[in-house]
Amino acid sequence: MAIESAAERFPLSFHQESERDRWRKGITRPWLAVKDLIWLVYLFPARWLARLLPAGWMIELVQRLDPVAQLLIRGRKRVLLSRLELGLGSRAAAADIAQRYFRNALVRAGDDLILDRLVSGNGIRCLEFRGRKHLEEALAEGHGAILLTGHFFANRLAKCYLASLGFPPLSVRNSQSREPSSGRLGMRLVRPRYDAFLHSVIRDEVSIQDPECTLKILKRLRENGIVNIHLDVSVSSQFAMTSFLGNAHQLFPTGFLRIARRLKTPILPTLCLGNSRGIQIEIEERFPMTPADGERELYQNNLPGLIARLESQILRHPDQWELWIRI
Amino acid sequence: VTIDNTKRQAIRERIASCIVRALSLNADPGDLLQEGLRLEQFFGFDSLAVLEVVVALEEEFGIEIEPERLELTLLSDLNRLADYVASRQGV
Repeated sequence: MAIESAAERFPLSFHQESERDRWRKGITRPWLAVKDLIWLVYLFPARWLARLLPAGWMIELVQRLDPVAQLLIRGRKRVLLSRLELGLGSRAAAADIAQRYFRNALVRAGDDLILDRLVSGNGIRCLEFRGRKHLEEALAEGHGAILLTGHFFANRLAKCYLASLGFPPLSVRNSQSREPSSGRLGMRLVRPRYDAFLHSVIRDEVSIQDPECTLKILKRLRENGIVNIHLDVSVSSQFAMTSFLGNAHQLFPTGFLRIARRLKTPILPTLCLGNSRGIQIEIEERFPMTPADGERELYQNNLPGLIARLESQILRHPDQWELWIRI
Repeated sequence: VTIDNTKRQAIRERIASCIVRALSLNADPGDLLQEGLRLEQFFGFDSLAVLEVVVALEEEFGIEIEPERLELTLLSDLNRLADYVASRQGV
C-alpha cells in the first residue's frame, strides 16, 4: 500500500503513556472469573500432565478438549463474533473463523506446555521459511534487525525455531498486561504465576516494565542481534491511535521507529503461522523507511504503512491472530 | 581509571550539556552537576529518552558505548559516566 493511501486509511493521533487508561477504563471485575479457574487448571494439573505425557499425546488430548472449551467460552465467543463482524465486515465468515480461532488458541495453549521439550529435542517442524535471505541481508549491515510482528498464535514456536537456526530474537513483552476477563483475585494471585510460566516459555525476553528495557534492546541490536517487537500493542511511552479492524481506538507503539532510525536498524515485517504440527515463517523485505525530520513526521510517514501490512496479514489469516478479543 | 580532576570536571560539564540538549530539558546543565544526583530522573516517563542520551553522548565524544556497558548504573551516574568516557577516549 502506498504511503499516501496508508496514511489516509489510518489517520494517526498521538498520545502519552499517562493518557492510555482513558481508553481502557470502565472494566469492572468480579473477584473470581471463569478465566481464573481455567488458568489454575492450566498452570497446575495440565502442566503436570504435560510433563508426563508424550508431546504428541498432549496435543491430541488438547484437541479433544475442543468441544468442552467451546462450551466454556460461550460468552467470549459472542464477544469474538461481534469483533470479527466489525473487523471483517461479514457475519457469514465470522462464525467459522471464531470456531477455528478458539481451536487455534487451545492448541497454542497446549503447545506452550510442551514447548521446552520441543526445543530441547529439536522437535519444532517448520513447513516453510520464506525470507531467510531478507534477515541475513539485514544482519549483514551490522545494525541488528527488528522483526515486527502481530500477535499470531505461532509466534513463540517460530521464535524458538529461529533461535535454533542461530537467529535468537529478544522478545519485548508487556508483563503487566491487563486481562479484561480476569477477576480481581485472578489478577493478583493467578496472573503473576501465568506470567512466570510465560517467562519460562519465552525465556529470551525483556519486559517493558524493566527500567532497562530500552537499553537491553539497544544492547541486543548493537551486538547485531534480533529484537522482536509487536506492532499491535501500545507498549510504548508514546503511542499513536487510529481506527483499526472496526475498533476506533486501537493503540500502536511508536518507540521502535525511533530506535530503528537512531540505530539504522532495518525493520522486517514478519508473519508466523501454524502450531506444533508445523509452522510457517515469512520474513518480508526490510520496510522502506521514509526519512523525516521530526518524530511526528517519522511516525506519520511510516506507521500507517506498517499498520496496513499488519492488517493485511490479519485479514489473510484471521483465525491465527490472537488479539481479536482484546482490541 | 584515575583521571585528572580538571579533565574529569570538563567531561562532566560536557556530558551535562549534552544531556540537556538531547532531552530538550528546561534546565541548566549546572543542575545536573550536583554530587549524588541520579541522572535517570531527567529521563522522565519517556523510556526512550535513554536512547537519545546514549546516541548524543556517543556523537559528542566520538565513542561507542560498549554493549556490555549499556546499563542504568553507568548512565545515571555522572561521575561514573565521566570516568567511562575518559577511558574510552584514552584521556
